[in-house]
Amino acid sequence: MVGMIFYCSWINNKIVTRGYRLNELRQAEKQLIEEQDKLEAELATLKSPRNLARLARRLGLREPRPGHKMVLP
Amino acid sequence: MKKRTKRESTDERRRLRQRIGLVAGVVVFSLVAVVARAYFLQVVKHDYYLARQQSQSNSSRLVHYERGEILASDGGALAVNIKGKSLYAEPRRVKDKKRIAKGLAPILKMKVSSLERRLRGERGFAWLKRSLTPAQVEALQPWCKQEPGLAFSKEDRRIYPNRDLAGQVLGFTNIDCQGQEGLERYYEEYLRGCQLYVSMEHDAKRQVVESSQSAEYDHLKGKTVYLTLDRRVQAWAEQELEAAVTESRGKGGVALVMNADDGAVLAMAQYPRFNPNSKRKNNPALWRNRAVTDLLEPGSTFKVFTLVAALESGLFKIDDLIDCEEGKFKVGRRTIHDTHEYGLLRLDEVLKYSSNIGCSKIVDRIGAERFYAVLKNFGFGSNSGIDYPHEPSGRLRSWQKWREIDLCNIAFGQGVSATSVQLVAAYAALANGGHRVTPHLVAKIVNGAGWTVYEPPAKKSSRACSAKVAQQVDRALALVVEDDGTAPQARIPGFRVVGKTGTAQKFDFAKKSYSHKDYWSSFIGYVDPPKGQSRKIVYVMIDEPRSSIYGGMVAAPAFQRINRHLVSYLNYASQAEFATLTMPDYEEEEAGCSVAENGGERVENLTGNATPAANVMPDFTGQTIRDALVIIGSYRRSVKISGQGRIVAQNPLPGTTLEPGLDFVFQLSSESSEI
Repeated sequence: MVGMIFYCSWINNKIVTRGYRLNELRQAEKQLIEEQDKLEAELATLKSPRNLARLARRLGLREPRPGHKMVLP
Repeated sequence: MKKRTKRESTDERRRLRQRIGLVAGVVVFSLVAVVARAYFLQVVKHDYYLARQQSQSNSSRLVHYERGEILASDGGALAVNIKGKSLYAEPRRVKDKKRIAKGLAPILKMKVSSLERRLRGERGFAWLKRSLTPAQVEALQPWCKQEPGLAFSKEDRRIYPNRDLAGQVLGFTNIDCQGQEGLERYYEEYLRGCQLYVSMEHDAKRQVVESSQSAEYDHLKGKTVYLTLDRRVQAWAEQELEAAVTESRGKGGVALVMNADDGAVLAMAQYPRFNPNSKRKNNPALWRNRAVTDLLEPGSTFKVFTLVAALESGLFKIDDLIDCEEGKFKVGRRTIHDTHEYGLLRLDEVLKYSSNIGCSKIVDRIGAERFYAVLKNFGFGSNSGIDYPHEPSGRLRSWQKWREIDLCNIAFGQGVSATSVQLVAAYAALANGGHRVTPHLVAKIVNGAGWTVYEPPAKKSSRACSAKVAQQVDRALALVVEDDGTAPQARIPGFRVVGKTGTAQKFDFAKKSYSHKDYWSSFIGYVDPPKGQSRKIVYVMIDEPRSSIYGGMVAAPAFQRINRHLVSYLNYASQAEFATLTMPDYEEEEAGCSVAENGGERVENLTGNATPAANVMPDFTGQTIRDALVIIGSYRRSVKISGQGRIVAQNPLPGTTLEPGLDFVFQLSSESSEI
């Protein structure tokens, strides 16, 4: 009987501890997702056509003319 | 002595038994009481105490799931969400309200009185400032730690990473991420995320022990909207429109690029532009997407439909002559003028020289009813059906209400109005052989599981005009860009360009007459693509240009520049390059990449339309794969290339007779990977 009581208490304690841990991990995951969203938004800004065109002009690049491009099969 | 001792010990034992009995009784009673109490709490009052425990340790919170993203046709992000922080207060817990208001005001850039007003009273919750900047969050951290009743709340913030690219088209959301304008508003139903109550279990310190909110919540988020807009085409359209408006010292402008076959809008540009990230800094008048919401008189771009009506009526042939009365023609008490004095003009020349008198004479002969029917077939006087809010119906009064002069005015684009999108949709019907199309900005909407939940309605099958008439009009429009046409500046060397200029007087509502100063100058047309590709209608309109009023002068150059980007981007093969292409004679000279001189630049033509002199497979050993691709162009069905460097082996073998639809295999000098 006493053993059962101790076992149940131990199980209950484990559930609560794991609950805290799970919650911490979820918070960490949430923060990482938020960070990823921010970085993706920043990447999209950097890759915006206007920004790329500005950088390309600075590097002396020009748009390809008809026939400069080859579509591989 | 012994007797006494025995009696005493007997008494002592009795007392001891009594004590033990008493203690045992107390213990048993206590145990019974505990068990009874436990029974009472656990069994008799079970439901009551379970409910109390749950109400104290469990709570539920309303969770707003993330708004869906808006992506361009290439998958590039146009509208996304990031988490931002907002500051709130629990006024009933805030102690020194005046001091806190004074301290927070400079950080939040708000008035002290405004903050005091928010902190006043015994309310449980009040927003102090939403969407804080990272610097503000940092400055507020100590305040939130020290002062009870001040805290941050995480909220979604809508971000437009391309800043003002297609700003008016996308629209914007309010601070609660609800669509307010543009596509954000039109597709709110799809973009909005679900709202759900999520249950949580707390401990005594209100820390969350367990939450039912799962990480797997993609299906609850708003849906992803894929647009037909191409970010590069949009950027070019905006860039060239800005240049045209600036050069012409105009008030603004609109540029559109649309697929003629299905009505997919590739670019919808407007100048001045609008950045939805900082909507409050912009004039609200800039929020309006003028390509969809503004009605304007199309002017001479409308003459095309007069020509269509003439040919559809069967009363005219394309080479019939019209007397243009040397520039002056009286209709009732009014006189119609042409910019130049023309005599006899063929029907297609009426379009080429944009003769008002020629158009007036055409509609006079075909009659108002028939002309009206043709215009209705092209969708004038009604909505185009574009998936965008606030589209007005074009203005086209019933033909019974037209006076003689109204009929003539409408023939050259006055007294009738349409939005830019409606005009472009009508031209799309002409360019695709006569089928009406529904312009649309959204290609598909996809849910969290990756299923397509919405696609634009299938192409309308109704005909606006016959394919034969569309072809005749296409030929007539090609004359407009000739040297003596109205828009030689729209021409691109090496490509077949067709289009029409428009120079429409704006109506001055104060004077109740047409302005002689303010015009809409436009050009609309397309460049012929290679076979199998859809024509792309390009429309440029400049509002109130000052350097010149003519569409051919101010809008046609922008049209040409946008198309130059397009032909390069879409890899249209230039006719000039075909003409100058000399195929290598692989029997006599070393085969090499064909070179055409184009404007002093070396241009390698790799379009694959070349044909070997004899239908025999050459020996490509030692040559580059580029050379081989040029030569086998029209014969290939598939090409397998392995390795890198120059060709060392090939199939079919040299000398094999070539026939269209062959599968080619090339082995290059160093084996590395198979392409």
